[in-house]
Amino acid sequence: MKELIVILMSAILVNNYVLNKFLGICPFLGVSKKSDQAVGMGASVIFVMLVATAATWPIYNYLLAPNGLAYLQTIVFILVIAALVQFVEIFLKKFIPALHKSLGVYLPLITTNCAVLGVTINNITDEYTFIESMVSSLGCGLGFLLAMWLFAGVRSRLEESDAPECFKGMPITLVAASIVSVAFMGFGGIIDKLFA
Amino acid sequence: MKKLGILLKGIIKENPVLVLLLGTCPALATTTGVVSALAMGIAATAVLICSNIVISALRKAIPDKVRIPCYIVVIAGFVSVVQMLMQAYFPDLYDMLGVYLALIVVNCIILGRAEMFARKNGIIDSALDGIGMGLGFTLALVLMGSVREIIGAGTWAGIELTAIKPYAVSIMTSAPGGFLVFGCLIALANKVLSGKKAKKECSCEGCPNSALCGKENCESDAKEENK
Amino acid sequence: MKENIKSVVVLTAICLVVAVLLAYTNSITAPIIEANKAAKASGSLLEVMPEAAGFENITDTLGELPATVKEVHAETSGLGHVMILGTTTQFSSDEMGITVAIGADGKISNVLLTGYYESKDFGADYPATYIGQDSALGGVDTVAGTTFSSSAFKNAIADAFSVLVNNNLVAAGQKSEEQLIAEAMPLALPGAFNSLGNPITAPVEGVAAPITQAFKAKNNCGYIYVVSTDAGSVIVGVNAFGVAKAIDLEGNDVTATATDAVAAAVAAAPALATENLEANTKTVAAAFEEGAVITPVEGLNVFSDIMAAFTVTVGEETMYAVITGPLAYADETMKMMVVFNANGEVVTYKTYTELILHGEYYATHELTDPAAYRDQFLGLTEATYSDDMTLVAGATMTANAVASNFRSAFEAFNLIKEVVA
Repeated sequence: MKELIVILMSAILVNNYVLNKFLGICPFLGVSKKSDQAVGMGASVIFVMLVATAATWPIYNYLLAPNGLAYLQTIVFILVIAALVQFVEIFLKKFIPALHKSLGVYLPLITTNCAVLGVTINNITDEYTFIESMVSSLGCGLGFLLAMWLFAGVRSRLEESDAPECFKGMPITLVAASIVSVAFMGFGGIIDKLFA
Repeated sequence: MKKLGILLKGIIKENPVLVLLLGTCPALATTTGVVSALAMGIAATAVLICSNIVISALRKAIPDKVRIPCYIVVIAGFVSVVQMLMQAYFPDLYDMLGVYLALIVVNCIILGRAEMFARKNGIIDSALDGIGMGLGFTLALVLMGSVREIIGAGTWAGIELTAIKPYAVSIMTSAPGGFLVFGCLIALANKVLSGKKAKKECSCEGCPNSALCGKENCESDAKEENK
Repeated sequence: MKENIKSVVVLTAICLVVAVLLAYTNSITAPIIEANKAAKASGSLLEVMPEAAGFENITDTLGELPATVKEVHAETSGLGHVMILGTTTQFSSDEMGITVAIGADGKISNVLLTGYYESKDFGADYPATYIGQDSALGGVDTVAGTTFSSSAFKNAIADAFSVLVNNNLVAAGQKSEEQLIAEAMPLALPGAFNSLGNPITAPVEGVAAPITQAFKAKNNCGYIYVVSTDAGSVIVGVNAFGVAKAIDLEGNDVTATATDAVAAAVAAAPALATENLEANTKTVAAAFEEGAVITPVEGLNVFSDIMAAFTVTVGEETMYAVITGPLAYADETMKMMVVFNANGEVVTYKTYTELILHGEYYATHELTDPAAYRDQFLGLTEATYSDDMTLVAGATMTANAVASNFRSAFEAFNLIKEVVA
């Protein structure tokens, strides 16, 4: 239990996928203009990360690794994720239209979100068990959501700021991201002390 | 002349990282040092050239409906090949790049060039486009890697710069430094290229993310710019 | 429909081609990747023994190992052994990693310091002084000023040799007379050595034959003499009470046989307890009401850090006061006094050194109440006292000194009871 909490907290705060590992930067910079969009995107990412991990972990550990096919990891994972997202979209559309209405628009663009592929690969390289993998995926997704949501607030201020001409748009957004990232560095020591 | 143009546009005018703002994840993650930036650039360039050639060659055979899955399979295949070769012959670099090597698969530059250029152009043009874009990507990464390594660690490609070493600001090699340097370099590119830049086309067109993220972002940016 | 079939066919074909391509690449690269992994695992071993053909991990075959010895690898062509050691210093909790290659000739062929970023404190050149040493480690010393790190390093290397020698994997090195003397000295007068086993002594000038060397313990617990005899050098410790103990170069107690050496040493040694009698008596008197009768105990057969001992009679009651000088932080002597009643219970415990009483020192180490710290020892007997009670986080050296003081005091008390009875 202790280990699981450590994995979860470290994924959310310390090794935040967006602000520390630079995964999922495109949607982070693209979708974080409005906080409701940011939350919708974040929720979809959490959902897809969990589903993707639940599918790829058994595939790797019971199908690829025992048969010496570990080298197919990258190609199999990306195909599985792409297929899953399609399937989930169709499923939601048909059976839970309300949820599809709120999350549906975000789903297709998650296929090539590097955070999703990243988390499934990291779970394998870190040699997590299935439970640990799911917890780590949940943590990474929550961290993504947290970063998006916080940054949406920062950006709404940025929109009104008077930046130098050449800094307008993306550059000033990145500088702001840098400062938010500094704030997250402050969480660095928290994990060691969590149970100390 | 036209061929030379295809080759050169990727380096400055349409630099994928600094102007088109594609492939931001590796640009931030692997530029803590010059060596890893160069390794990432070369790996991505190799995948880009190969996938551009293959996709261009198969452009008539691939049905429109399944083109994106087909591109992904081709790209993922080349990425896996590069991964294996790197792990075998450059294990240190392989360890350095870690998960980001596998993530070339989802690098928007590669899928984007496949979608925007290779499927509409001949093999030679596509190869040149791949080389140009790859060079532009590599140069931008090495530039960022240099800035971050020199300021952050006082070294360049591991060579100690004795004049700067004592003043190294180590935060530049960690995450915040990545965002900061990237932001400043884009601003610099904006400044230098302002006016010379071709009317901004929506660069994310090829990226599946464009449905929401890129397109809206680009369109509003483009609107601002065209005002 | 036709289009759908074509889509599926094309996608499947591409997948198959890619899969074949990957399988082919994998068949080429897999053996190289395996070889790389194997090379990496033995990388640090190869670094210290580059000419090695291969290594076999024999750690599990050697029985009980010292805590510092983590891994033992035998070179497969018989060049020797590479051992991975890990040790912590008393000064910092950083683990110091050492990879040492010991050749079949029993000499260190290479040594590498890993994972210890304070190597600057004993100098990067220090580990290199071990190259060419055999298990006697005759040519190396600890580094003054960084005794913690360098002692830890030396002890770890000594542990490594002990494993090889005890398992008959290499022959033990021949120790020089100088080393044997250095090893026998702590047996003759343990009180003059700090918790790291280093002598805290000052040489005495102008010694006459048969005495060849003489040292005075800085904490006034006695003298150590090296006496030359027909049977080789004998080390004689003379305690503060003028009682001697003789040790030969093999570490055996020869007090009963080496009578000439003992006599020479005792004749040369000023009895420190007598010399400092006035000062010590004052110290004791200050702890009691006026009218207490203070008598020095003589001829006490202890070789710990005891400086003096007294019987104190107040009215009808007889008590025993022991003054000790344990070595603490920076090898400073911390003067302390423990007073026992006739039942062996601690009735008074006093410290006379600024170091332990310094308010700021305690504040830093979360011991805000020195008086309470001292009071916890009152009423204890040898049976109820334990070294754990002395612990103060962050002040290990001082705590060690307090513990040493109590061990010496209890030992002395038992002997005093015998002497007095």
